[in-house]
Amino acid sequence: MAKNTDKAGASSYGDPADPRAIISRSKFLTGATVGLGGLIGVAIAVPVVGFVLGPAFATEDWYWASFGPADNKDFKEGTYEPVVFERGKLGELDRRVAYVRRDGAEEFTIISNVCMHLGCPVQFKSTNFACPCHGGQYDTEGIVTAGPPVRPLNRFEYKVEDGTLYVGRPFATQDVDGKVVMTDTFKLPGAPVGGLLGWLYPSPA
Amino acid sequence: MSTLLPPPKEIAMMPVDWVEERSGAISFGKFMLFRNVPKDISWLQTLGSALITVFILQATTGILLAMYYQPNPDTAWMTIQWITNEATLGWLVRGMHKWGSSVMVVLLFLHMGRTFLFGAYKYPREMTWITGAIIFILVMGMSFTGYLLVFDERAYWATIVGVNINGTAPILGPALSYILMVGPEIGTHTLSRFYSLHMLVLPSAIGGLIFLHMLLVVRLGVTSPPWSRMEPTEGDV
Repeated sequence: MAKNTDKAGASSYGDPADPRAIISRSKFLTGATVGLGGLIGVAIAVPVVGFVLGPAFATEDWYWASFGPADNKDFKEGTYEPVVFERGKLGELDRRVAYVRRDGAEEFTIISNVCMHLGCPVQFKSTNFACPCHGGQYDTEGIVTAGPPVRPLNRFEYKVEDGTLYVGRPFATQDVDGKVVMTDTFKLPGAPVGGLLGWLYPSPA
Repeated sequence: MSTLLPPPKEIAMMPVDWVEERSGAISFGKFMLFRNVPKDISWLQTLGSALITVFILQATTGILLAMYYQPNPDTAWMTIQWITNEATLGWLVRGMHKWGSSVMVVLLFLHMGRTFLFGAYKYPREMTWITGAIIFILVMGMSFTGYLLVFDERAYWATIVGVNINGTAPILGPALSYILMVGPEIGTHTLSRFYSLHMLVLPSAIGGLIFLHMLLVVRLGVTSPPWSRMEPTEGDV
């Protein structure tokens, strides 16, 4: 300090050992340590967060599963035929059940058996779909008649090519004045579709 | 010649003294184990120690199970069948882990109930309560993620229902479900993600929080029961 007092002038403010310095040595080192530590933290956090979240919201591969000839006599008008199929390449994990009803020569209603309460498998019981887990009930169109499900059963997109029925992705449906309308988004069980509640449950991907 | 050697007891203590002189580990251990506690505490105050014991049991048996378990949809169930039916004492190790998990949840509720009914969460022990509450949530997470690993029908459907319950939270619920399942449906990544959470993320978080919880318990001391007739000594709260 003594050596700086005799050298009056702006230059001594740049000496970190001088108490009048703009920033002291220890403050500078503290700041540098915290700053560098923060940068290192961000450099680690970015890949961590991306690696954890990225694959969760990636677009899924979907396959068109063949359901055989579209004129299959098992697909009848007025009732549903369960079809077990694999929607991907994971084997047992990709096994799904669709309920197929014929509406015309190449017209079908294909309902997913996933309950729209919490995702248990529903079963068709001649006049209704019923869920064993928490008692959800649906009519033949898949509209909720009783229990906790928040919306009608999902329906699969389908196409008929060269007389073969192919089934694709399931989509959320909406009950509009007693008629089931297919939407163009997939939504998880328990997430309402349409209105304020639908807005509160956005589709993540 | 024997006069040159210290007495045998001193020789035996030499390694202990060596460690103590360099780390203070022995006096720290004595400080932890021989703390003063109120005269009128009972078995009810041992539930926390019981929980630490079960946690160590779960960690140990979990490490053992990880030596044979393969978190892959094709092998998960088969390796567990092998552990249960073929591996030496596998039925015992798996049984300890399975029943230990239920014991841990039961003890956790009892420990939390004791703390609540005794008012032991009040000033200055709020942080002990808060760290304990976070441990409680993480233990629920352990139960949830561990359930899927068996990968039988019950595990699969229970996890679907559990994930969809998470999804019923507004705004972030559906995204949370996607993050848990790594996509819109349960797949191969779901199993490995649950395995990573169950054996790495959650246990280390619980371990760290137990350490904090214990630091606070040692620092703040144990409360007397509400019906205590003991005279409060100076500094008691």
